[in-house]
Amino acid sequence: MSVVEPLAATEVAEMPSAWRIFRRNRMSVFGLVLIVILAVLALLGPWIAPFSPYSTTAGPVMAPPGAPHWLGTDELGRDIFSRVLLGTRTSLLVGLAAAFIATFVGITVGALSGYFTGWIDDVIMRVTEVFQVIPRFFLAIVLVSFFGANLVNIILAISLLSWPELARIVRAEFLTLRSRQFVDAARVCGAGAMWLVFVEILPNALAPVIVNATLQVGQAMLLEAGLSYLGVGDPSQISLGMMLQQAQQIMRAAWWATLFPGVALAIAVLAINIVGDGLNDVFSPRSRER
Amino acid sequence: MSELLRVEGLKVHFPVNSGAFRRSPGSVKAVDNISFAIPNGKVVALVGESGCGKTTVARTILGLNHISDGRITLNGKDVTEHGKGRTPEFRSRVQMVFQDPYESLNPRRTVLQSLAVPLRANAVVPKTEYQAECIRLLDMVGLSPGAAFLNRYPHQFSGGQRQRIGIARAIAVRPDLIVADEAVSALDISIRAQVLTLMRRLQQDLGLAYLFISHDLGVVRSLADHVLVMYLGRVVEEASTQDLFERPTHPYTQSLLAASPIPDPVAARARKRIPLTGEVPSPINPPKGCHFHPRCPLAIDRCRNETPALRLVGAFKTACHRAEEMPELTAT
Repeated sequence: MSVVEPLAATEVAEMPSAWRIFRRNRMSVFGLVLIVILAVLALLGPWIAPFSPYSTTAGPVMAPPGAPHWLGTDELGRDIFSRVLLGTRTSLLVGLAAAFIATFVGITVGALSGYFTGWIDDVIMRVTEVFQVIPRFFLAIVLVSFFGANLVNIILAISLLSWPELARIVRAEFLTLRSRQFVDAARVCGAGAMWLVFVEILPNALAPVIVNATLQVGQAMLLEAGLSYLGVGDPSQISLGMMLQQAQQIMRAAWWATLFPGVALAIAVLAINIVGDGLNDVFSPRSRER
Repeated sequence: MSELLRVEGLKVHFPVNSGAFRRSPGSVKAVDNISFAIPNGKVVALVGESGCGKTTVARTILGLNHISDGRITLNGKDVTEHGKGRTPEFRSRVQMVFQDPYESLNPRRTVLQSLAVPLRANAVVPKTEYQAECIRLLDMVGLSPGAAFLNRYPHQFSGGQRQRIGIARAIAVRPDLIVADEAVSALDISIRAQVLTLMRRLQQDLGLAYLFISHDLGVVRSLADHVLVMYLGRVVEEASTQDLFERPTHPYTQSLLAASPIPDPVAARARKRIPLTGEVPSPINPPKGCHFHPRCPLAIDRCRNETPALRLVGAFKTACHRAEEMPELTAT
C-alpha cells in the first residue's frame, strides 16, 4: 500500500457532548435542578416531614402558614407541609412507574409492529388506534372503579392508556431504520432478527422514546391527580389530587390548603416537561451541528 | 473456469399499492428475467443508468429483497428455497460492500463492534480472538495500525476510511464473492482510485470474485473481466470488457460509452457521438417492444412491437434486432 489518504485519526471531529447541549438551555438545567430537589424531598419525605402527615393532633385546625406549620394546617389540623411531601412522593411514584411500564410496553409493541410490518403491523396498529380513540380519563375512571382503587391498579390503568403513543413513535422509528444500510449490512453479515432489533435498530430509535417517556411521567402525574381529585384514587395513600379534593371544601377559609399541593403538582409537572424539552434538543440532529 | 454463482431467469417485481384496500393496479418490474454467471475469482460488472435495477439485482442475490421468479445457485446449490432468508453457509461465501459509507456503519457502534458482527454470526474465530482478527482485517484494508481504530465510532472517520471498514467487514468471513454495489461512487476521485486499488489487491490476494455494480464506465473498464449492461430491468448486452468497450453492438451501450468523457480531446472529437436524449421511461409502464426504442436513434417498426431476446451475436450476447447490421449502421 503506497498511498493512503491522510488518516483522520488525530483530528477527531469533536461532537458536543449530550450534557453540553443540554446545558446550553438554561431552562432545562433549571428544570433538572427542580426535579432533583423534588426527588430528594420525595425520597426522604418521611424523615424530613416535621409531623406525621396523618396526625390530626399536629396543631390547631386550619392554622395559616407560619412556624411551626410552614404551610399551615388543614381542617383536621394535619400539617400541610408533611402531607405535600408525602403527596409528591406518591405522585412521582405513580408518574415514574406508569411511564416506565408504558415505555416498556410501547417499545415492545412498536418494535414488533415496525420490524415485522405486514399483517402483524396492521393488527397491532388497529388495536393501538382503539386505545387512542377512547377518552383517556374516562377509561381510567372506569378501570380504577371497576378493579379497585389502589396504587397498583392506578399505575396499571395509567400505563394501559399511555403506551399507544410510545408504540407509534417506536414503530415509526423502526420503519425508517429497518431499511437503513447498516441494518442491511448486519443482515448480510448473518445477524439474526434479535440482533437486528436490539443491537442495530433499537439504540438508534431511543432518542424520541426517551423524550416522550419523560413527558409521559408528567402526564401520568396529572392523570393520577385527576383521579384522586374525583375521589377514585387510592384512599390509603396521600396524593396531591386527594389533598386538592379535600381542601376544596375549605378553600375560602384556608387558601393554603389548596394552593400548596397545587403548586407542588404544577412545579413537578412543569419541571419534567422542561427537562423533556431539553432532552429533545440534545437528541435533535440540528443541535449537534452548532 | 469453475462457476461460482449463477443467476437464472431472475425476476423481481414490486407491487404498486394504491387506495385503501391495497388493490394492486400493476407492478414495477425492477428486474425482468436476468441471467448471468460469475466464475470463481473473476470480476463481473453490472452497468446502467440510475433506476435500471442494478441495486435490486445485488440486494436480491443477498436475500434483502424477495424474489418473484428465477433461481440463484451458489456452487450449483439453489439458495432461493427459503424465500428471503439465506443460509449461514451462503452468508459466509457471499458478502456485500454497500454504496454509502456514511450509511452502512451503525453510528452507535465502534469499529470493533461492527467488525465483530460477521465474526460472531459466522463463528469465524473464537470470541477471545475478535480483537486480534479485527486488527488483522483493518491492516488488510490499509488502516494500520488497526489497533488505533478499534474503539472509534464511524463519525470519526472519513468517507474513504469508512468504505475501507465496510470492505474489512465484507472480507471478515473470508468469502468467495463480494457484491460491491456502487462501492466507490460516493467517494472523492482520488480516494476512489485508492479504494479500487485495494479491491483489486484483495481480489488477487484472497482469490475473490466480484459482482461490481457501477454506473462509472471508466471504473468498470479498469476492474472488470466481463460486463453486463442493464436497461430498465433487462440485460441488453453482455460481453468481455475488452469487446464491449471496443465495439459495442447495442445502441444503448454505444450511447453510454459516448457519454463518458475521454481525457484526450482529439480522440474525443474524433469519436462518433450517439446522443442519449430523454429520460429513462417509468418501469411501471415500460414501452412496448424494445424498452429502449423511444430513445434509440436506430429504432425501426420492429423495435416498437417485438421485444428483442438476448441472443448470441459473435462474441457478444445482445438484445437488439439490428445487431447484425451494426457495423454498417455505425460506420455511416
